[in-house]
Amino acid sequence: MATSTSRTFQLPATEELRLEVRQGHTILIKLLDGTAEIFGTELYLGTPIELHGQKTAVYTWHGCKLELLASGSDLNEALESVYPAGETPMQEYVNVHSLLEQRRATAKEAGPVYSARSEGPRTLLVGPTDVGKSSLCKILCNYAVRMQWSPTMIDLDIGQGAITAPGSIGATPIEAPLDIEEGPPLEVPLIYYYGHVTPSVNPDLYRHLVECLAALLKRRHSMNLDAANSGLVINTMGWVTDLGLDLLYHTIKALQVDVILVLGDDKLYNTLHQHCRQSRNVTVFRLPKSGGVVVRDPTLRKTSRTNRVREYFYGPRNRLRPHSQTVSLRELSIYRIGGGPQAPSSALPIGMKAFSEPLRFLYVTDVDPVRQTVTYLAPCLGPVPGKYLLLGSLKVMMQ
Amino acid sequence: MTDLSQYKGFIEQYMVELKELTFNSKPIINNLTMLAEEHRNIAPSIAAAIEHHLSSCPPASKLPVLYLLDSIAKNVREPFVSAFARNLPEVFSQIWTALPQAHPQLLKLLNTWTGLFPGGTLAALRRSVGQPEAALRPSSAPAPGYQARPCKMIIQADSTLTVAKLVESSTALRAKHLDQWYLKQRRLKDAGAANQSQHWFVDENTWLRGTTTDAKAAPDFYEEDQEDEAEASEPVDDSQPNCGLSGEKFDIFWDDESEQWRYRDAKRLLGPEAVKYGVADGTLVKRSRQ
Repeated sequence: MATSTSRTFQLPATEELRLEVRQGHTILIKLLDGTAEIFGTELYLGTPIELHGQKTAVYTWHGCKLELLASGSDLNEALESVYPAGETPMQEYVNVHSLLEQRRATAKEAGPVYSARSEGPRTLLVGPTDVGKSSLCKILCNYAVRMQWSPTMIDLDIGQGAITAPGSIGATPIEAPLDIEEGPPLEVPLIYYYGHVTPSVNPDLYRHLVECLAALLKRRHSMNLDAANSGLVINTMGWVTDLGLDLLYHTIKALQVDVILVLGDDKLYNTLHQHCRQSRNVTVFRLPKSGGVVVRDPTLRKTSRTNRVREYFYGPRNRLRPHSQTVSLRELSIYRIGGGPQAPSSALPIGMKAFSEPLRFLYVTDVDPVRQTVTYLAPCLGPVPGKYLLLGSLKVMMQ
Repeated sequence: MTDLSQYKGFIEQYMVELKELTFNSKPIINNLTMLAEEHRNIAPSIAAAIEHHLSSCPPASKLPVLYLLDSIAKNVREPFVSAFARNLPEVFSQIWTALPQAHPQLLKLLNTWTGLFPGGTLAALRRSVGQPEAALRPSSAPAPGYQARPCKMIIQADSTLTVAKLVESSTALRAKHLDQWYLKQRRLKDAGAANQSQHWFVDENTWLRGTTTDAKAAPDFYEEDQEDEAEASEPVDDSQPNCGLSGEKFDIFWDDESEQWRYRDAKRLLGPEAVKYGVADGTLVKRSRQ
């Protein structure tokens, strides 16, 4: 195939351009004319955006002209695939947005003093893995921001960790459109560490963390009316049967969810629908999954998990500099969360309170049993603010 | 037998959801249309449920429910068209009488039904609204609620208004968002690769306070420590190298700010404080750190 450094695409209204950039490659995308958005984040005319080894889609409501540029020598080499598609669920998604807008407006009408009626929509996205939950989550947050709200993005997907490293759940206020290159804003995330990539290891801890988060959000909403009116967008993990379903029920109750969006799973829709019949104020909707969703096999999921850990320390564009440090084991107290699969559940509630505080991640690179030292990678310079370390079961190999 | 009770349960559930349709909500209409499509084998029962609800619901809900009927008829078509056709003139004329302010919308809707419902039904409909056939222009105007799109699971709701609002608002905010983005880009660039690092996560209270996206929201542990150090110290006094109470030797350090050597964690006891501890006025003692 001949090499090329740029390609232009003319997209008609309500179509999208699906792109797959190869791992380790970078391309630039530039809007030449019209309007276009990537998962709800607008592209600015003439401003190129970098895309790194990722799958993405550029959507246009009114038609646009796009240019793809190679950052290296050859565009064709960097692109796994690129094709326009007309069949997208964007109409349905914007209808959901419309419903959420109505709820936010109603919440705002409740007045300038916080009350229960000031609570905006608390939206839960559920569905199996690889149906586009995270993409919809971004779209709904971005659309809200573009209507001058500031919703809170909640990530309960401990397997992938959209907000920060895997193994944790987190919340972050969204006050500007999400940065396509950098991901969710990491300035003010609130993170609770769970320590494993699947909730079955310690479901009680998972429940406890969700409850902690719920209590904190309640406090925040009573202090910040705008945040209360804007509501929550909650992303969940793809495990939707057995214990996974129980945990979903728990989340619905704990976070007082009132809008549930089920993506691409009819059975789950019916189950949740039945479950929520009793409570009058929960509405369940079913949405189609996007045809652009790529199914990730376990290897790819693992790679993407490792990448998330890497991004936590180095940043998505390798701009961050973590620091390696060595300390004596005597200066640290290391605890293991839940103690593994056989941990007696009765042991949990005692120490749990102390550990529920938000915390920081270290990547332990070496343990020297002779010198009694631990070498770790810390996200920033300076001593670790505390001497208690929690050990998770997450193991990744970063090169 | 089981099938029958299952259907009964479904219809009851459908009736519950119909009650939620109190305003022109596209998602609810979509959802109810999908449910109807999946249960097309019991179309007469669903149609009866909708008709019953139309006649009994409060006036404000009638129009949205009629849009649901329209949506089902246009998107699912048979067997719903036949099921609705039977009682439609009667239902429609009831609404016509109950909602005089909605006559323009109702007429618009009626105009989109040409070719959808059988001729007899249409004629009866037109009679019920007191309009001779000639008065109704063969309108090409789209239905107020929904455009028909054959055989798709979910209806293409009329989202133009929502999209228009979104575009309008984003255009107004674009300059602000673009500024934020540029500032961030510049900050990243200015800081250079070497100085950038991830901040520690904040604790709950800081998170609650810091809802603006301010990178400095994360506490700086270094500064805190140094402040403490300068506060809890006294200038070196060669006549008192040890603590007046415990006899411990003071740690000496250089303080940049006051440009002098100082005793770390030291405190000079004066007046009543000296009396309290039973030492001479002006004695230096070592403080315990909190």
